Amino acid sequence: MLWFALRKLAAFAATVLVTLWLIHALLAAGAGGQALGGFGGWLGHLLLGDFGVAADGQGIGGLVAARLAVTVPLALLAMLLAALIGAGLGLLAARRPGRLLDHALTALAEIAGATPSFWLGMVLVAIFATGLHWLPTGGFVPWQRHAGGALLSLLLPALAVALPVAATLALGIRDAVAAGRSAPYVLTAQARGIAAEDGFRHEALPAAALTGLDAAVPHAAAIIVGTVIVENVFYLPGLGRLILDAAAARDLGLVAGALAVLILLTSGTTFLTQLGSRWADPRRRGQDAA
Amino acid sequence: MSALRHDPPALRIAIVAALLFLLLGFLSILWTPYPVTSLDVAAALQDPGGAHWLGTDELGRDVLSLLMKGILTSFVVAGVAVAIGALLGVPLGLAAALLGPYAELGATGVSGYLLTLPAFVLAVLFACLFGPSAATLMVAIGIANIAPLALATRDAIRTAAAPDYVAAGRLAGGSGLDLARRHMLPTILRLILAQAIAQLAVGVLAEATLSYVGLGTQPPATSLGLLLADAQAYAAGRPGLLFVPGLALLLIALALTIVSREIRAAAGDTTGGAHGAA
Amino acid sequence: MALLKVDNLTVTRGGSTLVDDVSFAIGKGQRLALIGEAGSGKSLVLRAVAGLLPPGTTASGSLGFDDQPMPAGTADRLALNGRRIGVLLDRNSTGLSPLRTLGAQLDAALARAGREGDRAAQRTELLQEVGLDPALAGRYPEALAAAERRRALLALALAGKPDLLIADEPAAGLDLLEQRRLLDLILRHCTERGMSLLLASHDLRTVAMLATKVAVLRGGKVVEAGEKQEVFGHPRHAFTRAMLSAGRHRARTLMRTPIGGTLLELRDVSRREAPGLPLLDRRPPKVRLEAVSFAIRAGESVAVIGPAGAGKSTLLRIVAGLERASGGELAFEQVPYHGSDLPRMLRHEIGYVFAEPAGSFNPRHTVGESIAEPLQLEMQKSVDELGARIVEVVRAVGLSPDILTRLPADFPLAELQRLAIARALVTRPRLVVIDEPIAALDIGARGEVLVLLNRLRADFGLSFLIATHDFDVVRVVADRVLVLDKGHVVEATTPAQMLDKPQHPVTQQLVASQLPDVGIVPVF
Repeated sequence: MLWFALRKLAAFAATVLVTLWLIHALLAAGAGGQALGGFGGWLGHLLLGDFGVAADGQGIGGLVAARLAVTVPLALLAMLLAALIGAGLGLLAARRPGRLLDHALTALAEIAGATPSFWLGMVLVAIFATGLHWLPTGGFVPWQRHAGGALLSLLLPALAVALPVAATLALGIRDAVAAGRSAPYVLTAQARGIAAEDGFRHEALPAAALTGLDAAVPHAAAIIVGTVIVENVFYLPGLGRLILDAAAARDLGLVAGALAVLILLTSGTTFLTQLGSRWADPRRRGQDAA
Repeated sequence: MSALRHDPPALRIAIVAALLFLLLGFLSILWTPYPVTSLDVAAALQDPGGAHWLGTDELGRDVLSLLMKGILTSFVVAGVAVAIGALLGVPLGLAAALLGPYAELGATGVSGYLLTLPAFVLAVLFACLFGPSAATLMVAIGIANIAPLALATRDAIRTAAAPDYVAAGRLAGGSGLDLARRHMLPTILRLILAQAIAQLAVGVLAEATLSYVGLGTQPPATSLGLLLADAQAYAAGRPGLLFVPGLALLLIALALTIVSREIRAAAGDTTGGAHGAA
Repeated sequence: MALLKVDNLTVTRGGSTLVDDVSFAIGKGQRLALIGEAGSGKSLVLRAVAGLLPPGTTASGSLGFDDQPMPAGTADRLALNGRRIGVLLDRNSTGLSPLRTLGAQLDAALARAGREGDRAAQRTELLQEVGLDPALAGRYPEALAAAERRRALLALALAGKPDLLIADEPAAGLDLLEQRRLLDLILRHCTERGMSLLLASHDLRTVAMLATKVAVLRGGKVVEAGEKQEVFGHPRHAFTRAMLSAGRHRARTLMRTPIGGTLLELRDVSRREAPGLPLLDRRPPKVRLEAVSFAIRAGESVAVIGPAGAGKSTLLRIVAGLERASGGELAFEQVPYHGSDLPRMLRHEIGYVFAEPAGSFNPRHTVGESIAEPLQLEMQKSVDELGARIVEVVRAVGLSPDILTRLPADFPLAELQRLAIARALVTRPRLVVIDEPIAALDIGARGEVLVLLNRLRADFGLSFLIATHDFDVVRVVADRVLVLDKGHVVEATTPAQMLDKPQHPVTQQLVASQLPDVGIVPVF
């Protein structure tokens, strides 16, 4: 496990480094990009936590940090919702494979999986905010002012990001659980005198959970990118708005710094979820091979 | 398996739906009910019906005409992006499968790296460099398509080469190309086609999403993403402006996803139905 | 007084009757085998007795265990399993829990059986009893070989020292050594502890070894039942007679091809495979074959026998030109090659029959196209001659040429195997390399294919190189036999010599692991 973690860490560091170089090289080639300086110097400052100064004179580090207070909780909430909804729907559909509920949920998941999350966000606003007035249409109540209000303003955006991912996960979990119901090891458990339901719960469900976890790994980083986009639907002051505003204003230093943080977030999340999925599997935990 | 999955009727419906949207999009090159550049503020925000089947937007433009143009943009951008991805990804996958272990290590390393690079980041970088446009989107999404197509190509060759009948063909003296044509190409092409269609669906969604945040298609050209961005302010009073482009987007992506999955399922079955994998 | 009593058991699914009014009784220490083909209902009888009928089936009739009716409730019924009744139903050895170590699963089985005392010692004893290294207790099932998983499943079934063992094809899919070890173990439990046995198998030798009583099932009905000696010695029902004769391969033809000069020669042929990338992986290469030398003369039939993983298939694939030897040299008719560099002008001289007939035909091509494919090696011949060749080989394997336009999916396995043999013959080769000629086939078709091979050899003057793990094949079609173990040829001899006086320990083990002949019923 240790060697595996170290190898993945090295891969993580290498990908981030290559992407940072790419960001720097492309932006430095653009008009006004010379403000970034050389790659070595820029990277060195980044590593020391010095992101430089934006066009309006503010420190980029501070600007980005303030935006992360929105983006990171939003992404975490979306991941949590995706996992809960995905597992819930998948299990529900697999309770009676082939029955009406299964067909209905599977069809729904197929549709939800093809739904663009920014549009889903608009639809959610139209229903729950402008229609039912249950939740705010957009904007953000800062955490310091009202933590509950902040959470409420993140709920719809998180749902918009989470639902398509949850749908994809649900399909995979449904198949894994349905396969577990007729798995040979459940029959063997019965042959040893263990009731089918117990065998299913203790043998098939953990196996299906691991399958689901493996399938979820690539979605974690995608949720962060989705978050950054859906922020725009809800006028949330997050990292995505910062990047887009900076790009529109051609503030290349700010774009570079904010993209660097975004890449760290996505690659870091992938690294951590890979480790987590590996550690969760008792068969792999003790091994170092890929 | 459930209703929509592994189901030939679903495949037929999905193919027809995808082709209808494609036709609608390309029809807009020749003809739209109204020119999309003509503004008529007096006729703004009309309900569907009568002269304008799907109503008009806030500038008095015909929604059906805009939708047709938007669908065209979706298919063109996503299609060019798939072409870019295939142009670079398929050779990469061929190298991984055919040129020995070191080539494979290199090719999968490159693919693995590309998978960590979101199209959004590339789109932002290109927008900063060249200004946002449909063309920068094609390249950004195209680069994101490389890795999935490379991996699909590599795996398709592996799958197609595995059965004993390929070995039997080799013993029968078939040359490499002859063998590939007789026994492997149908499977390989179908699997790559399935991945390309899946990437087309992803590309349609990505084009709309990135155009929505201003990184892609720019007015006066239009895109489903731009239509949705315009509709946001009027969604409360005119939900049709929100639902028509959104549903079109959803249906295109859904139809392509189903087509892709069904082709993959049919192609993966290389040993023939009756005997299974034995 | 019977330990297990089954009265008028009937199992239906939908409108069809799968098991029809089956009754039998097994006394303490008795061993009953249900024999029948696939689909005869024997497995369903076992599952009904174990309380594990598949969903969608309904059963009627009465089951009694130890002079009590079997409990009706699922929970009460299952309470017997793992304690007084051991159950081994899983034919594919995929039934171990994937996420728990073997040791943990054995501990759970021992705890369920209510065994008191030192768990670790019991576990070790159990593992040693089934011939597994106690160190394997820490492994997960995926890290075990198929044969090891099979033994582990038997250990689970025997953990409670049951009074009755229910076993469905206990030795299916194992090589000779493994098979014998497993059957010996079951028999020992029966003879030493007085365990009763309810067995289902289509392998008559397994039945001959384990059972005292036999019931023959066909279409869900018992067509014949009685003491094993009675049924095997004097079968009354026509179906039983047909089954018994299919199980006995006495197919040696009297016509013999004259044996000529050396056709194929192998000199120190080796194959080693690097486990990973040569420069990045320091592990030693895997030895598939090591310094294999032998020769086949024209008209001779040579069998290669050995345990699973001995390198039999690798050897065949190198000879036929599918893989390359990493050391040594081969020569066909004095022309040297190393495997895949077999010269094109020699390729038509070597035919190959794959182990899996189903996988060796392209499902999208008609069988005619597949059989014609090797003819591209002989493009100089006229189209008429080649067409006649196809008809000739298809007739030679006992099929009619009008089937050539059909797809492989339309054929049963036995006919596909005949077609695979036809394809191997279509270029008029002098050597035919055959990987496991009958392993994929049902028992009824096995004898026919062996007879066919002998006839073709006589008619066309062929030489054979055959890999098999089956002594019947060796006895019936081979002139000489090579015993392969871990990539080495450990003994080269004749079938009669090998069976009478095996020299090498591996050969001795293999020969000793043979199950008794069905005709000569041993008395246990």
